[in-house]
Formats: sequence, C-alpha cells, structure tokens
Amino acid sequence: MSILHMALREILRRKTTFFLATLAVTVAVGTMLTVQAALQIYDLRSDALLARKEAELKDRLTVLQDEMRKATLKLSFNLAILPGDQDVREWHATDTATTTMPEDYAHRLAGSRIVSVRHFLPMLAEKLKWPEMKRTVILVGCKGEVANLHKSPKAPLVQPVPEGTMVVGYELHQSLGLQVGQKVELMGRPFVIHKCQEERGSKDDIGVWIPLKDAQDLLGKPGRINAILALECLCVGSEALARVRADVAKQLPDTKVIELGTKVLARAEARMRVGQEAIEAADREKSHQQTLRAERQRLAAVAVPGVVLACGIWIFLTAFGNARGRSAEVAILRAIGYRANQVLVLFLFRSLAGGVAGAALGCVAGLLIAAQLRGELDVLLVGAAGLLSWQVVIGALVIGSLLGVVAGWIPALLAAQRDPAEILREA
Amino acid sequence: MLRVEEVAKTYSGNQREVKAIDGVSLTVAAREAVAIQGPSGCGKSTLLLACGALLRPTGGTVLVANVDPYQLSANARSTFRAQNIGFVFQQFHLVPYLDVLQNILTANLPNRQPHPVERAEELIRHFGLEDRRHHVPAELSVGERQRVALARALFHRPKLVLADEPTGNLDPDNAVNVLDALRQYADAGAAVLMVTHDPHAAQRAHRVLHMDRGHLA
Repeated sequence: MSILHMALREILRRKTTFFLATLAVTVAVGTMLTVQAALQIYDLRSDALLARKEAELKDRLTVLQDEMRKATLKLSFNLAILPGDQDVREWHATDTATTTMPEDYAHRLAGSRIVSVRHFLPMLAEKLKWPEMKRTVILVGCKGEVANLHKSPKAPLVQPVPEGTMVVGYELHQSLGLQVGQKVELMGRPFVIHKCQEERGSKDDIGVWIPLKDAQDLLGKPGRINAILALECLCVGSEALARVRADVAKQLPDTKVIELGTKVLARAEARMRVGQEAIEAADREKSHQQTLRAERQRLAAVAVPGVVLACGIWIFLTAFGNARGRSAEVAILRAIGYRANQVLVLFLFRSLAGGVAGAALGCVAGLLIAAQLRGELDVLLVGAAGLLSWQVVIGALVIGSLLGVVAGWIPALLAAQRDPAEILREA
Repeated sequence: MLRVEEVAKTYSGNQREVKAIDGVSLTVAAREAVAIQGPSGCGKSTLLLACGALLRPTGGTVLVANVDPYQLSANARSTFRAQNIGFVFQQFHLVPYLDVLQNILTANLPNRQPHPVERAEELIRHFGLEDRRHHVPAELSVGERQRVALARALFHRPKLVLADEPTGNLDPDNAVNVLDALRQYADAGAAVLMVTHDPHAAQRAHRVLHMDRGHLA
C-alpha cells in the first residue's frame, strides 16, 4: 500500500466532496473555454456580417454608379462648348447654334491636360427641311468622340455614325416608316439607315445623325463645327461649372460653356451622397461592432477571473472541510510515524486528482458548448485556425489542474502541520 | 526501555499557565507492563504523549531506548516513533476508508518492513480478525476495532507500547483480551506503559503507579 493508494481509497470513500471540488474545476475550465469560444464566434459572425454588408454596399454603389452613368447617357452630355460669338438666347430658342468654330477646337481641347471635362464630341447641327421627306429635322453631323490623349481610355458615350449611313430619331422613323437597312436620300446624297433611335421625348426624336464630313459638305461649312458636347466631371466639387469655364477658356478663349441637364446632375450628386452615406453607415457599423467586442472582452476579462476565483474558493472550502473532518486520521498517522510531507502528499493528491479530472471534464464540457454555439459556422472547433487553439485547450487543462492544487494547498498544509498531540488530547 | 526524569509540561494560553505534569520521573523496563491510574485531568495523557515523542515537555528528559527523541529533528523523530513506539488509544483512531488489512499496513508506510502483508496477516490471525480482513472500521464491533488498533501498534514490533485508556470503550470480555495481549507483548520483551481509570485493567500490569495533579504518588 502506498500514500497514493490511500488517497484513492479516501476519494472513493468521500465521493461527494471530491465530486464537488471536481465540479468546481469543471465549471472554471468550462467557463474559460466557453467564453473564449463565444468571443471567437462573435468575432467570426461580426466579420461575416460586415463582409456581407460591405458586399451589399459594393453592389449598391455599383448600381448607383450604373444608374448615374445611365442618367448621364440619357442626357448624352451635360456641357456644350459654343463659339464665343454665339447668342445663347438664340441657341436656347432654336436648339442649334447659328455660328461656327474650327473643328480643330475639339482636338485642341482633347489634347490639353484639362481634367474637369471629358468625352469631347464635335458636332455641326442645324435645323432644316429634309427635302426628300418634306419634314423639318435637326441635322447633326458628328464623327464620334475625340480621344483624350492624357487620360486613361474610357468607353465612348456615343458611337460614331459609320460612313454612308444615318441614324434617325424616333418620331421620324415612326412617322415615315423608316427601318434599319433602308436606303434614303438626304439633300440628294444617299444614305443607309444604320439605326432607329428609341423614344427620348426631346428634340432628338426629330434628329438625323450623319457623319460630320457629310454634314459639313451638305451645309457648305467644311472644317467647321458649331458645338462641342462634353461631359463635366462630377469629381471636381460644387464649383464645377466655374472651374470648367476657366479650364476651357485657357484652351479656347473665344468659346463659351453652357451647362445642360442640371436636374440629372443634381440626381447624380444625390446618388453620390447616398453612396457616401452608405459607406459612412458601413463604417459606423464596423465601429459599433468593434465597440461591442471591446465591451464583451472587458466583461470576459472580469467574469472569467471572477468565476475562476469563486471556483477556487469553492475548492478551498471543500478541501478545508475535508481536512478538518480528517484531523483524527492526521493525528494517528503522525503518531505512528508519518512525516508532515507524507500527510501533505495524501491531501494534495486528492486536490490534484480533482483538478485533473475537473479540468478534463471542463474541457469536454467547454468543447461541447462551443460546438453548440458554433452552429453552422464553417470553422474547426480546435486547431490553429479553429475556434480554440490547442494552446488554449492545453492551457485551460493546466490552469484547471493547478487551480485544484493551489486551492487545496493551504488546507492540506494546515492539516499536515497540525500538532497531533493537540488533536489526540482533544479526542 | 523508557526513562522519564523530572519531566514537566506547562500549557500556556489566555494569559494563564496550567501545569499538566510537574517533575514526573519513572522508568519502564523491557518485559514490564506499567499502569498509571489517576482521575481525569491529572496529567496521565499528557505524560503518555510526552513519552511517545509527540509532546515536547517544558522540563526534564525523556529517554526511549536510551535516545532522547526531542533531540532529533521533526522528521527523524517521526522515523523514531515509527521504529520504536506503538500507540493504542481509547478512540482507536482507525483510518475509516481503509479495511482491516490496510489499516494494519498503514504502519508499514513510515517504516518499511520486508514482508508487510505476511506480518499483517500474522497479526490478523493472532487477533482473530480473519473474517474481518476486508471490512472497514464502520463494519466492525468496538472490540474488533481495538484489536485492529492493537495489531497496527504492534506491526513493526516496537520496543515501547503506549496505551491511553485502551479498554475505555470495551466490554469486559474484549477488555480482558486487549489487556492480555498487551501483557503478552510485554512478557515477550517490550515495555508497555498504560494509563487507565479502570482498576481491573491496572491489575493486569506488573506495576501500578498513581498520579494526581501532575505528580506521581
């Protein structure tokens, strides 16, 4: 028979107090692991939530940008650069400029380093009677966008009209029964219908688009244009028009700039603001989640040591009660020659066994609870990338075992150091 | 075997001093059983504990087998007790979670014997406990418990056996058995010192001493 054998017999004899001490360690270790896993699960769920919201935000911003682009496309262009001597009142009244400027102006603008304007479309437009069809139309000669050499290439808003073809507005092709591929004549020159426009509800519905060169020839204005349509860059801020005018004036001093479609611009700006607010809302959500996490961590930092301390006191009290109840046993063992350290081992083995068993049970309980909390999260329970690392699990095992020993140490020491003569005299 | 010279023990506490024994001297030779009789509180148990190297006297000398155990370190004194002294108490003080065999074998742990189980079995047979070998104390009669305590005390064949009211809780038949066993052990060569109230128990000793108020008469 050995001291350990005696300790085991004692444990089997007093199962209830041993179970209570073991349960205390189980609770402490289970709490440690559960709280750690819960924090980790909360982090993962928060990250997933934020990722989902960010993805939604990204989609929403894409939609907004797309809507803005569409709105801008419907407007076609939001700036018109007109010849300097053009009467603006007349331009508004007739929808076309009556004066002209060199076609080269568009190339000069595109070749500059101007950033407030992009997508330059030189055009020559004039309201006239289509003699063959006997209809008033707005003839527009255009050659497509002039490439801006100093910016990254962007998709053109308007495709050029292929040579020998024309594009006709909605009202015209509807009322005249024109179809794509149909051959027509305009002022004696043959064209093939390249495209029939959808309804726009504007003067475009009576428009006829032909290549710029053809228009210049038909109107007797070779090398001339009467407007450059452009797109104002919305990134330049609230004073955009003033800046655009200043920028254009530097390149083309004898021109004037008119802003078109302010409602669309306002709508685009509003959408940009909505987008910005969505980004700010996402940032606020992120900050809120971080604040919540910090609060949970603070709570865990108080609650876990509190539970461990309470369990330690619980173990201490059960160990103390056990030692007090065994004072006569200690006295006789000391009387028949047991050393104090042998009595200490007898008591400490009990605490160690309770600590190890409790820590093992606590680990099992903690892992089971963590598995329940994990739900459908796709993450390992234990592992380097898991809810709980092996270090944490092993650490909890060691801490639980030590908790049993440390909390049982003082009662064991008191029992081992009690004067056996005093106990025997009292008995 | 046991020589006590002018031993005194004073308990201090609550600003009061109580002289439990005062200048007691006695000897117990080998093959001798000595009984000390006296009223409760006369210092009998204190003297017994002092003789057993468990209670350091405040004065005088205790020699067991010509060794003063109080000159030894705490651990050496424990070993000395394990090798030389056997104790029997009125309350038996058996370990409640061990059976009869294991209770006897507890004496082996501080002082290892070559064949402990054989020795324990020998004592079980000697004290008629064969049927109770694997019973825990709670399952034994008081007489059986005292016999187990006696077997544990005699396990390592001590030179000195100290018995504190060994028959205090026993019926007459069991008391006789225990007293006979102690007497036989003394006759076999050991020294036995017993303190008791019981005049019949004292009559079984070779010599009877009377104690009163800390003094031997």
